[in-house]
Amino acid sequence: MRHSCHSPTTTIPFLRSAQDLPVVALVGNPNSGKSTLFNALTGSCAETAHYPGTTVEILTGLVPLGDRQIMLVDLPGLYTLRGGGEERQVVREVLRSGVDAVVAVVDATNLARHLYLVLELRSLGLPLVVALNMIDLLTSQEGRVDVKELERLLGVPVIPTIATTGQGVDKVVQKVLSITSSPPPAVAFLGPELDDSIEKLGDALEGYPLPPGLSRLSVALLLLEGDPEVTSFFSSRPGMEGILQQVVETQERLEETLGMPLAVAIAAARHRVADHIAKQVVKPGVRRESWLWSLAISPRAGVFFLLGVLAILFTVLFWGGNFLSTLLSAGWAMAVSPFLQTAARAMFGEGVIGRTVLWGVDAGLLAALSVGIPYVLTFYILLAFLEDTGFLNAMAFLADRLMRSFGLHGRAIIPLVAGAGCNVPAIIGTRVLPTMRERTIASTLITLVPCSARTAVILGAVALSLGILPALALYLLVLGVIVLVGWGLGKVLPGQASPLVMEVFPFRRPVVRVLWRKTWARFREFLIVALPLVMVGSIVLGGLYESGLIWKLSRPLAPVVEGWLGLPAVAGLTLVFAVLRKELALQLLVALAIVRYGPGAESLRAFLNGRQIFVYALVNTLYIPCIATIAVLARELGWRRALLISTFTVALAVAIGGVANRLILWWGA
Amino acid sequence: MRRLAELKPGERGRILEVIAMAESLAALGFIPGATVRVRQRVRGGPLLVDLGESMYALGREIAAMVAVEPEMDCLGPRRGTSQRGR
Repeated sequence: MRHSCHSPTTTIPFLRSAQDLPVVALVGNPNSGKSTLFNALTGSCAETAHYPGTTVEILTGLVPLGDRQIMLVDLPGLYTLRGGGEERQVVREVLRSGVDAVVAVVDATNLARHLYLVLELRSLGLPLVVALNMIDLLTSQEGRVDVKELERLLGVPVIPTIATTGQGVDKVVQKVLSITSSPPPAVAFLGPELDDSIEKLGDALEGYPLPPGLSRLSVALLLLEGDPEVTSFFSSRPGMEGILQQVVETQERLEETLGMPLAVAIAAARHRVADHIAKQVVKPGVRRESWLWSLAISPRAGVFFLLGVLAILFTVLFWGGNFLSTLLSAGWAMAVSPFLQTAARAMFGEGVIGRTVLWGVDAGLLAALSVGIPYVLTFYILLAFLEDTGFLNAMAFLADRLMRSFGLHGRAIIPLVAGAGCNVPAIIGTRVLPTMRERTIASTLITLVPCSARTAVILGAVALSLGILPALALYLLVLGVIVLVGWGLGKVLPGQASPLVMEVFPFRRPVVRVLWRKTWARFREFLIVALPLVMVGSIVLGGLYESGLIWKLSRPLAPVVEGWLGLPAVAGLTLVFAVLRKELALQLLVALAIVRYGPGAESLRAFLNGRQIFVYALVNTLYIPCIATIAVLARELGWRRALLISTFTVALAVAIGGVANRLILWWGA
Repeated sequence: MRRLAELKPGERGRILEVIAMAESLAALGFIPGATVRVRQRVRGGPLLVDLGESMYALGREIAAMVAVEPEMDCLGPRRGTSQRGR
């Protein structure tokens, strides 16, 4: 299997590649610099893949090493291997699938906490190298680590690294290759009392079959901790009652002496050992917190800070994105469009087919790019900045209370506000949320947030013809709908907002190169997902239009559009086309109106009254997301949810549009 | 005995028991005997606590499930960071 930059969503043939390369897994706490280290080792050429049968994304990349190569696997960041959740299960599975080596990335400025995971890995007896990362930060805080002593206490090699500059990363790889054949013996590291019991249970396992790749000691510890996979390995086999009985007896005895659940007692013991080791080898530095950081987490002043960041986000996406988008469209019309038109005519002729193809390659490509580059790329840069500096978590802390009333985690504030620029990156941004339920709620709400394209319609139609007050009223109405839908979904969808337990990192200076790599990896993924779908959607729509089928198909819509919404039929048709790009609705409406009513229809007021303009903009804002949005919805949540959300928004738009129509009529406007 | 959620900013408490989500909190260091310090609290919302060298945002409903014994800290030199169980 060749690794290239162009096919980032394949399923990894886990985990052995055809070339039988050594496989090395990267493990570490979130924000340990693990992904930065991965980037430094693999360059920008990495593949993203879903672990088979899960939604967990895993990055793989090749690391050249002289005439050899190793396959590096970046596993999801976690604090512990234990416990539920898809991510931890995947990490456990990968680690037990016979990886050749594991690199544990730890933060030198918070060694005690990060050593906890290292001790867990040590108890599995894996071939392990510890990358002691952010050593530069510790030095700048005037702290120090005795690396030799740390190696001695842990029994595995420790390499100081600075992932952001790439310092030390080569040494990590060399070390990894030298240890793959000789894994260190597993050590429980839990203090005398627990260690004894584990050893005894380990001896009792003599002669029993063991899960592959694990020593008796590791298995004994995992059984006592209640590890689901190892427990089911034994309970699913006949003749294991004796050993399982012994596990239960040991658990009960230990719980009685220790006075707490055994899993908690083991965690506590491991923390004590981690603390003890850290105290012996670290001379801690002095942390200085910047005033900006203190401001960002202060409940009162922080709210203004939060509003400020959101305002910047909105402004950059809204005005900046709009500016870039207009520029791109103009450049496209001048430089690319004529060429494509000539080419399409030459290949497919002047007929229906040629024009249909043009819908796809000309209008479709432009639609995807004019969302992609100005909005998606800009948002990704801002999001990466907020993540890497640590501000995202600080903001989530302050916004949690508000978001919770929608059944959402505090982190949802960023994608929701970003939705006002463009829904597409905002929906991809919901990945910062912990559960599928929250991502579904947040994504649904985002599709209702008027993005800049819909705002262009609101401003171009309502504000221009009716004045600013009706436009504001429309925004308020939409905001009210969002709040109600959010509240309703929070009640209706089973489950609860996941409780907030989140590490908040002190402010870190971002590294431009790392930001850019992260941004580019995400952007590339967007292009690969959205581009083909938008083009295919455009060709289908174009075919319907060019063949004239669209007029027939839209006839059944007439009662809804004319009767219920009170709009002329031609307006309904443009709403269908707005699926391609929302601001197209208005441009098409004017164009079709000229065809239908002759010159003079340039002004909306010539053929629409104030009520109709308002209802038109309202429906256009609320109903079905554009093709690019549907594409990312499907990618993030699956096709079923994407279609459900789209259908829901159509129903909502028709219902609210119709009611607004009646209300305005009744009011006598 | 009080709950972590009841402590005011600046107050410390020694954890006696974690009543809910004990296992996942234990991995982060919320274990009996560890000392936490409340750094900030949002009215009706989450708390920001220091634990060892780490800082965590905890939902109020979670903080209400952590039983603590408040620690007095008015005398003597202020410790820079809290200590875990010893």
